[in-house]
Amino acid sequence: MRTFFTLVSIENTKLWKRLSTKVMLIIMIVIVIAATSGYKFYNVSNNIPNIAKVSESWQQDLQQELTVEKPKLQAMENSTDKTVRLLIGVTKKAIAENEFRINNNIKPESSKSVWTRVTDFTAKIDLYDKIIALFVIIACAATVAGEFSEGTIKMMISRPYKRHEIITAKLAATILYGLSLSVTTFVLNFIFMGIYFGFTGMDAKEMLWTSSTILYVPAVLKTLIVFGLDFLEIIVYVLLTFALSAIFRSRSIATGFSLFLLLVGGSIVQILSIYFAWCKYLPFGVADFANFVNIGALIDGTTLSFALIVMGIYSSIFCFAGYWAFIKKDI
Amino acid sequence: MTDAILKIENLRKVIGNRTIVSEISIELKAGEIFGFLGPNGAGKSTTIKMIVGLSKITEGTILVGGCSVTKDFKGAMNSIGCIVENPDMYEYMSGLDNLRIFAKMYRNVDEKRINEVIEIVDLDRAINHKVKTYSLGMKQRLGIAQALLHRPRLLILDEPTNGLDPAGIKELRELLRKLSIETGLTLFISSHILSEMQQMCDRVGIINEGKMITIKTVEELVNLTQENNKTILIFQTDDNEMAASLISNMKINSNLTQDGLQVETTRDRVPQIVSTLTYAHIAIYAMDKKKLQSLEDVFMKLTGKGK
Repeated sequence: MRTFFTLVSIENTKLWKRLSTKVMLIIMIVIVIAATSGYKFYNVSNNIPNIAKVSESWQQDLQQELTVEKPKLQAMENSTDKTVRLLIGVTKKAIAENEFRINNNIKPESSKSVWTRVTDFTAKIDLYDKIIALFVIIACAATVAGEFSEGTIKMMISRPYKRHEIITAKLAATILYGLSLSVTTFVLNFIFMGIYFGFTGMDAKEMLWTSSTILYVPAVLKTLIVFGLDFLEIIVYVLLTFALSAIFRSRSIATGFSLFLLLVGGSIVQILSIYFAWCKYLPFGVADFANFVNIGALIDGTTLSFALIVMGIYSSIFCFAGYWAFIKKDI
Repeated sequence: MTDAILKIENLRKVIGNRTIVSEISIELKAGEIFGFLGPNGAGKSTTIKMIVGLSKITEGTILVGGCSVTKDFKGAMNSIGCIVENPDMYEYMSGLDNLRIFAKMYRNVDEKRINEVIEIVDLDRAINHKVKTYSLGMKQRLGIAQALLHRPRLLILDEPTNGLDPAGIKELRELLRKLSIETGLTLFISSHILSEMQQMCDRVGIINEGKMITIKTVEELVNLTQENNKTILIFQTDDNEMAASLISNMKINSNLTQDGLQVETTRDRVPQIVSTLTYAHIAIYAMDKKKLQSLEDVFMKLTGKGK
């Protein structure tokens, strides 16, 4: 174990000695500050109130909404126009939440807690997870495929370590980098949202929709779960890049393909799934796990647990392929 | 022999249905400098890659300091320092950071040892500069420094003189000689430049088309071409053709070349040749002994690429 930690620390040093690693962290910090400040500026300049009015007859209002939403959902499910099926997940979420409020007598909150603001803002701009994934893809391709292009992999292999130890250390260092980017983003985002809109409702509770049931949990827990889901999504793409790097040993191929799949892979599969039900089993369609909680299922008939299982299987395949290629192939 | 540092037996490498190397057996004693010679594509790098674990061994065994590369990889790698192909280092880091990274991979390599190897390869002044600013000669020396860090018993260098200028080659040769004498390090050096091997190595193994042709000491190899004490003299006269016919009348082999008339003869017949030519009033301007036969000639002869 001691030797393994040595290797991880070596990989970590090599990663952070690269200029791009530091630049990417700085870019991330700038993006968070710019995004939160821009949001505050927008709210102030458009006089958007911090506190929403909740009428005393909220139960009737919600009931009324339900009577509109429910037939709409039915119409969507029976519609011949398949494209409207994209909205089924969102509608289901709205119905479930309204019903839950009415049944459990939970009055809509007049002002958002800081936790809710953080989660809502992250979901609204839907950017942080993608940018972090992009940066980690670049870092992963550099540590794994980059060493092949630079020729330094020969220097690593001809040492008293097994190949699987070396590649595990590389993977661990990349994931640690992803974690440090994610945590920095999360903490900064929290601090700035708090400064701009107040650290209110630290002990608030929130509904958590998993596309099949609703859980009523502390808002802090929901925020952390969403953070965790975003991080899992990043790991999926790290493993993809890891496999491509180990197989093709080319930084550009690994970065290029991974980026393509990160940016459009999900949308392509989602569109295909409208027409062919089996397409929901294709990789990346359900990779944005946080969507299930924030928006609702984008592909009809999928749930959060379905997504985790499907992408878990694909991730294991990527992982296995990466290890196999790195250990078996001559250098 | 049990005290062999490197013992290769019947090594074979097959990729697909192509045999890259086969029937390679080498045994290195402690402290010797072994030259591994062969033209490009003969299988030198493949053999070296198999020794240091970059390439899988199809058949045969490799023992390094008694440890099998396939069964006890870590043990074998602890006694090897190597540079395979180019001295590729992390270009975005300083030379010192590179050494620190590799030092971490072994127990018992501390900052003191790092400074020691820097001094050995004489990189003190540039060690804090980024490797991308290094010249090839400096990279080669940094490569040797990282290979020496853990005090290996066997140093493997793949084409170390590639791309170096004559001064760099001379420097490297002196460094390697010094290492071998002072620390008793065993050296395994591959090259396709033969004259260098001649000046550096104790023994030379010649490989061609994946097969070991011969392993001999340098003297043995050079002697191989000097058959029955004959030397070649080059005459420059005012009438080379006339001289050639006179000499062939004496039943001595000769042939006309651009440099002059080459005569293959033994020492005791030289006065006779000179007097014959003088008697025929042929002016002799110069008479040179052709350079000693080099490995180059042996190599060409052995690989059948000569004539």
